[in-house]
Amino acid sequence: MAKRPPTKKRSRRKNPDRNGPRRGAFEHMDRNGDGPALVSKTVQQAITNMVQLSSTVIEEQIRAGQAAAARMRDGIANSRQLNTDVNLVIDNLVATTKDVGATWLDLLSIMARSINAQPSGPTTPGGPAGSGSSQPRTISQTGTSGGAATISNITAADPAISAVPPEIVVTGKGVQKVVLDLRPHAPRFVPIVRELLASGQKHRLSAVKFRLSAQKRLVLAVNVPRGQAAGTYTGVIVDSSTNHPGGTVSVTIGS
Amino acid sequence: MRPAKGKRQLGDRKPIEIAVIGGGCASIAAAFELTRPQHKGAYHVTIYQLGWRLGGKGSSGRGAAGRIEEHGLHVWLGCYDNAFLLLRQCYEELKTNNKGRGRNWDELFLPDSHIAVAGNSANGGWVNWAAHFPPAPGLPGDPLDTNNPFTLKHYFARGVALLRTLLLGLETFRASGATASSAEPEPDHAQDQSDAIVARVASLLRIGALASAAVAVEALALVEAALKSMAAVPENTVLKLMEAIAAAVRKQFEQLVATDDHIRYQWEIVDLILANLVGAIRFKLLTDPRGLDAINHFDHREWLRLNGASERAIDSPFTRILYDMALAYVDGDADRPAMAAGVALRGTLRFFFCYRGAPLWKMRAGMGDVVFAPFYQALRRRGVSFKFFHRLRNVRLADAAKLAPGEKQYVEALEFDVQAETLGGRDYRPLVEIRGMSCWPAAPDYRQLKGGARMRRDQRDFESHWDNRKAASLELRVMRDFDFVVLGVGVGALPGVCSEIIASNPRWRRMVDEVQTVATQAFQIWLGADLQELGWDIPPGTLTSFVKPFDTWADMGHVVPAEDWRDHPPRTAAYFCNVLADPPHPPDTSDIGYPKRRGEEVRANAIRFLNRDIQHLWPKAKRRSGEFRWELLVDPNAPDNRKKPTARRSRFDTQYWTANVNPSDRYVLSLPGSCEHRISPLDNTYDNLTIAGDWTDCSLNVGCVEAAMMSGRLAAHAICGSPALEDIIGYDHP
Repeated sequence: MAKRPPTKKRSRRKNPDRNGPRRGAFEHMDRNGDGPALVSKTVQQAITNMVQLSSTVIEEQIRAGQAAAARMRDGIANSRQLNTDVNLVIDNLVATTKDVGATWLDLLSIMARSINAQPSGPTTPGGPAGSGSSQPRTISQTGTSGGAATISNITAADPAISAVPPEIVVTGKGVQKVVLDLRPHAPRFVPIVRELLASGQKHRLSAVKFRLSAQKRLVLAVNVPRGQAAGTYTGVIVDSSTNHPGGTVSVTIGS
Repeated sequence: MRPAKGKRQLGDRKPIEIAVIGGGCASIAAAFELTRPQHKGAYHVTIYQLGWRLGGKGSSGRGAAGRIEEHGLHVWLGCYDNAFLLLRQCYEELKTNNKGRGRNWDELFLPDSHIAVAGNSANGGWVNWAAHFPPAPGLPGDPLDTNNPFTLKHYFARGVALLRTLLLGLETFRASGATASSAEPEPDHAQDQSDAIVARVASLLRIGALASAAVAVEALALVEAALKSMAAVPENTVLKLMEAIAAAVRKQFEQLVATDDHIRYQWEIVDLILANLVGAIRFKLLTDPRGLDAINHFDHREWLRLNGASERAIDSPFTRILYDMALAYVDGDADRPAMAAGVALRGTLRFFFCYRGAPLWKMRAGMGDVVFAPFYQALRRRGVSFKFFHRLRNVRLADAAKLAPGEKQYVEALEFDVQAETLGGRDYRPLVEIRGMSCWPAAPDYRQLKGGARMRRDQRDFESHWDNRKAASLELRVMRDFDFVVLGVGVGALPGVCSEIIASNPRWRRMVDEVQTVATQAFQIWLGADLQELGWDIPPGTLTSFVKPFDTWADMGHVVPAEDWRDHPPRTAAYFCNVLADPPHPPDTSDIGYPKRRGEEVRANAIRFLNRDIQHLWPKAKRRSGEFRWELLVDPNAPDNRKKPTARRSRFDTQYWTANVNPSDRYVLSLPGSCEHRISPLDNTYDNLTIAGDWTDCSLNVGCVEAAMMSGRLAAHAICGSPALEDIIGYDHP
């Protein structure tokens, strides 16, 4: 290399503005668009956000289970071997995903107790947080109505809540089974049923509602219109005043 | 390619001279940044490289039949945003300068979504788990404003998708044990398909996998909500919440865990995820200004254990994969795994959650061909000078007694051995053309060198630390030959070339003591059968966590078309790599035979591995006697196999293996407690020197291409203020 004449002044690096990366996680979220608007300002808002999220989550996972079941059914329908046993297996798959919704509600009750800073025992790594209260108990009642088998479950989070499984009344043709899983979290729990869906979102059933009987008891009325497509319809029950999820319901209509 | 004219001078001002030592990823990145057109020729870069080829630990060469011979296994990850960004810009520039002619970068990279891990079966033997990871939006190196993988929303969305993949999409399979000579009847696929569907659904319900998976997925969503409420909810409350979730989910799984391999992995994965989540909150990682660095004094497994992970999960292949990918074994000892917990967690987040396109991207030729040759061509065109066969010997500091008041210490001179001189003093032309691609040969072109014939006869090893033969010495002086230095050699080489700095600077002394390295070994074979014929029944991909000494295998059949096999190409190629343990006593600096001896050791390791272990992956690659079917190997010097190929193990000698024992080639480790001793390229202790390499404090702080590229970009910033630190993707990251 041809040597250049020495420069007169030695070049020097400037001191950089900083010597290292910014590691703060919330700063990182802010920089990347997860701004303060997404972070709850108060405990109440935090609970509200979690409740809203959980309702969506339950519905979404039920839909996902339905969609998976539909895919499974379509796949098997195209095969040479298709029998009622397979349909039964698929129905059980849908039921399983609905059971997960119940588990989600268990987690929610744990969350609510934790957020409200209930007294708890010492925690061990990975061990459960002590709750200080007894486990909720499920009371079930089976029966028939309108030719359909009915199973009504209630799991009250609070012993103060009257745990009487609601009656299920079915009208309309072709209903094979109705399963109700009610989980009231407070004495003042006024449930409503959101629209039930089957086969992803292809088929809808909205005529499922709670009402009070003449004896002021809670009744789930299932009214299936003529021509309703066969399938298993599922949906979420929420508290009408808070939108807090409080259970699930499924209605199986045969072909 | 001739450098473009008129690029060296900015008006009447002479450009600032930058001496870049080393030709690996970090040095190339620094050079690429410093010579961007926006600087208008303000900097002239000269790259000094020992031997005949760029690449450092990423180098490759072309041997017999044009076959690709790599330093190791070079797979790029889909989260290597800085590396892909620079590479894509390089390819664009080459095409623009060539009137639109030339390859696109994505023609030379193959997205790979299949990752497999191997583990011990509960019933004895090996079992493999393989997953197809779902594609993520965009391509690596895409601008962040169109597709940002660093948002919390993205992390959680990917978390859900990942859980679904791992819990619902992982296939468990085991080598069938069929021998090469057995012939099984073709199954009735249609009948089997419906039976398989029914069996699968029944299996899922029986073991409750779907329910358990969904619980874990929903728990993750709950965590998202909890994290968003962190500002309002006391941290210890959130911790209790997390521990309660962990207990509830663990209870779901504990009932299912049995000796069934198929469900065992689900529990291990969920257990690891829960431990990470609990630990993130227990150790206040979200609010600690140090981010994940706050736990770097723990080993990753130790930290998982502290946070409730079971021993089964801690020992599982899903934990081991991190250590194997990072070669995280002290002194190459398989019984001494060690990795800083923060580095491991950051790497996990980046690898699993921040990839774009596919998690892995394999090159369709050698890394030298796909990466370093284009960079060489682009840099040459920008006016960068290359000095091959220059080995750095010493970085000499100015006499401290002669510094002006307030003047920082600086590098006064660089001392080199000139290993070889070119005929007529011409620039060495390093590339060869193979199948239309510019490549680095596996040996220097002796015809260009003075005394080249003699050097070839003497078997000069220009890349060996122990071959000190030289043609001349060279001293470069500050202000005359250079203004700034970018030191891009490997950290293993620092004691040899920076003895003055290390002796006078305690921070540098601690860095070379604490930031340790490991030697590696690798071998490649070319086979006359494809993977299915060898007994590997699932889509080809990359497998790790297998047995030592070669725990990582990558199917590389896609590179065979880029080689020059003529009439009878191999059906596939396989690359294996791992750490290589150090000898009890380090070799003497004049022990010129040391690399060859270690090479013999690697050869023996490879033969033993093929005879004893490969059958667990390729059950049809062994004879009834259990020995490897050596006749499967394709000889590059006799590929048409006119003579019946020998069935003896000597046939392995036609393949390729390497012991990467040169100090600069050693792989950097991220040991617990070591990261705090790394020095950043931004450090301005010596005001005309910066450092570059994956061993520096570059934020990612783990041995990989991405860390090296980030470091090179930091080195460029240290000198010229560009690129902005905020533009180095992922630099500011918890």
